[in-house]
Amino acid sequence: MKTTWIKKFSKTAREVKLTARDKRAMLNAILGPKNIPSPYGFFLTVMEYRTRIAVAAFTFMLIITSGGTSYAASAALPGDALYPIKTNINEGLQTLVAVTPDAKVKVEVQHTKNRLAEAEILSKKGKLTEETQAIIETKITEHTESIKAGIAELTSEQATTTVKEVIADLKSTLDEHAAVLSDLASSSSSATTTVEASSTLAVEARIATMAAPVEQTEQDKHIDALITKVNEVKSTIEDIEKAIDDSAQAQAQAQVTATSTAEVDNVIINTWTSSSSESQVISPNASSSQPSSTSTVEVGSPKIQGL
Amino acid sequence: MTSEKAQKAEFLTLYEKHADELFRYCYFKTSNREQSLEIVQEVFMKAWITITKETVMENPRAFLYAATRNAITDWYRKKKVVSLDDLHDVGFDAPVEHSGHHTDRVEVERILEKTSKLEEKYREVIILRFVNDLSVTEIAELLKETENNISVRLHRALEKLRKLYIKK
Repeated sequence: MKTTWIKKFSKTAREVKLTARDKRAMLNAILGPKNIPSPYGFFLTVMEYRTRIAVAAFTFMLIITSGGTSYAASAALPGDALYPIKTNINEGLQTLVAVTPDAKVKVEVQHTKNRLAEAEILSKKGKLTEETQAIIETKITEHTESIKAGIAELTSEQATTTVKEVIADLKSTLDEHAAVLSDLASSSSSATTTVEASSTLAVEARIATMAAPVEQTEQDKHIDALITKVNEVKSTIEDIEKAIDDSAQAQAQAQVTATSTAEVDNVIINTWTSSSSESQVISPNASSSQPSSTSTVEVGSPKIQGL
Repeated sequence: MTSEKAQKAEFLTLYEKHADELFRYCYFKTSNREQSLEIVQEVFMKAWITITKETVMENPRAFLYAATRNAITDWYRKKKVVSLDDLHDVGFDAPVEHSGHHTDRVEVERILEKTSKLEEKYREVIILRFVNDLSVTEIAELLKETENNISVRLHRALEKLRKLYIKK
């Protein structure tokens, strides 16, 4: 009897509690607002402000570098918002992937082609402004520098084969593009010209149309600037070609000379413990592999022109 | 040196465990909801300071109850005796959590009313024992009395309350 009423008493009394709101308000008052564990789940509780920013930045980078954005960027032109993505991320990635010197050269050649294609599209659209032209020109200069650097890295043997192909390809591309560009320029004037394969002829044709009084539009100026640039690059490439040819020639020379020397100094060479048969006709510009041998062969070896 | 995180965790555990019961204790002693909130906040603030000062609490629960009792005593001294008239004026604001059932609220108010009629020392042990579920040993420790005294007091208190309670 006694116990039942008191049990009820206890039970009822225990109903008295703090409301959830009161509890949080009190916690807030004691610890400060940032310290209250969020009721919205473990996830938010664990993350701190700084971590949240890091996650947002990471997601942003993920979106940028994921296929979608860079795929869309591949069609970007100078002046577009996505153009930096194309140049830095898409092409940047290609450059990174190119490890060997000849791969690097190929990549840079491709990029140069891209620049020229962009220039053409822009001028067709009538959007080749001073800024965009400057961008393209700067980029082409960069690419040319990289090409030169890449070629310098190559050994002479590689230079002779791979790069020669690549350079020939670039040269013809330059010719084509120069032709297209001048064609675009002259199409805005009333005169038309036939497109020639050689760039020199294209330039001459351009000059020919200039003879007739023609209004040169703003765009034409930019096109001209780019054509000049293209010709610059072409001559640089030709110089490189020449240098390669010369050194190849000189190599061949050295081989011939070395052979005759070797025959004379037969005994000396035979006692020499070199590995490959090729080393017997050592070309003096082989990388510093057998320094001890130079004394034997150096006699009468011609100097090789560097690139 | 415990990290701030560990301290916070320690505090939060304490808070989750004891906030409600301390509030309950305050409420039945003061019959005043606002005041009870204030006191409980004050007590937990002290607890937080103790944790951050790295003072080890041997028995956190005892610490909390002792602090609460002191706070209530202080309040009493300022307030003077709570008369029944005051209670009528203020009105019972029984903070029942899920008061879907109307009678619960009424019951609580009734308990309040009846217990307030008791003498302080009887009221104290009734609340500690039957509202807060403290054991006789714990009560004895808290009130600094012998277990025997508490036991006897409780018995007498219960008798008085029963008379009041059943009588309606």
